[in-house]
Amino acid sequence: MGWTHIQTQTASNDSEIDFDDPGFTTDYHEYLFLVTNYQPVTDSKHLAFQVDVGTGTTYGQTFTSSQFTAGHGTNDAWSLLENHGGQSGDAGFQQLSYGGEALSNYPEMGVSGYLRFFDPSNGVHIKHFESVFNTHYKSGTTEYIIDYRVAGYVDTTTAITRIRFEPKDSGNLGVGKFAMYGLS
Amino acid sequence: MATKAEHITTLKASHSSLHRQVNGVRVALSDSEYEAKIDAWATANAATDVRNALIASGGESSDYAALRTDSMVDGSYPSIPDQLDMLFHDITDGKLDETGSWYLAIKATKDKFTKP
Repeated sequence: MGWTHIQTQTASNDSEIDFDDPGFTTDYHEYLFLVTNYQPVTDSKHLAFQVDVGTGTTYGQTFTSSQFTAGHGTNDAWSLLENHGGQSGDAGFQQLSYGGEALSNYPEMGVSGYLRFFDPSNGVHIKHFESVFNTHYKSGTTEYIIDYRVAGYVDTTTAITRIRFEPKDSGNLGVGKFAMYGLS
Repeated sequence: MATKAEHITTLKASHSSLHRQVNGVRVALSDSEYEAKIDAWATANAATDVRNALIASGGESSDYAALRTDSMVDGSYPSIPDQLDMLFHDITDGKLDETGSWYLAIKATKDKFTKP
């Protein structure tokens, strides 16, 4: 059986986007979030997420993750392959993408990618996730593509129930589609 | 560089209300949620100002090692291929000393982002 579409939300100057009804349930073993043509309202604000284990807590789970970035400039004078360290037992929002300078000047540019969760509703294991997001932006006369990859886990054996996306640190989610899929 | 209080004033002027989207329904943040969100944003923006000023002008920072090695930061170490090219030319020119291009490039980064 293939991926089942659960719900799609479209950003419209929102401080955050929540998937909690339905959120993560035992109906699906894996979950996939496809983010398409996302732009923050404020330039250079990275996309990030947090998860929760109930309905009355405050999206403060701890993440341990690794992260690396590849980049390329269309002037062929700049490229990048770099480990950025990730997070270590950090209860802040997990960064998913590079923000990108001057995105607001170029509506055709932005961020697309996916976040995949493995068995988030189990009550035995920690919760693995992986993500790949690429950012297309322009700085000066050069366009750039930044490939931002994260792999890690949420350090809880309690079932995860819901997820929240927001810009890392501050600002609103400007535009972009956030689609949730499940795999039995 | 604005203070946190100045950021709060600016953010409240540009965001009279804030909204969250929950399962496709857009809802306004409550007064307490709004105040907490603005406070968190102002804290982050003030910290970003400090970091951007440091990246622009250099200086002492406990984050010096990360600033030196993050190639997205202006003034960080040159890439490994560029450093190897510098060393090749320094060897060719007989400048494996403090006048060589590699030494000067590394020193420039260390001098920009200094250890407390």
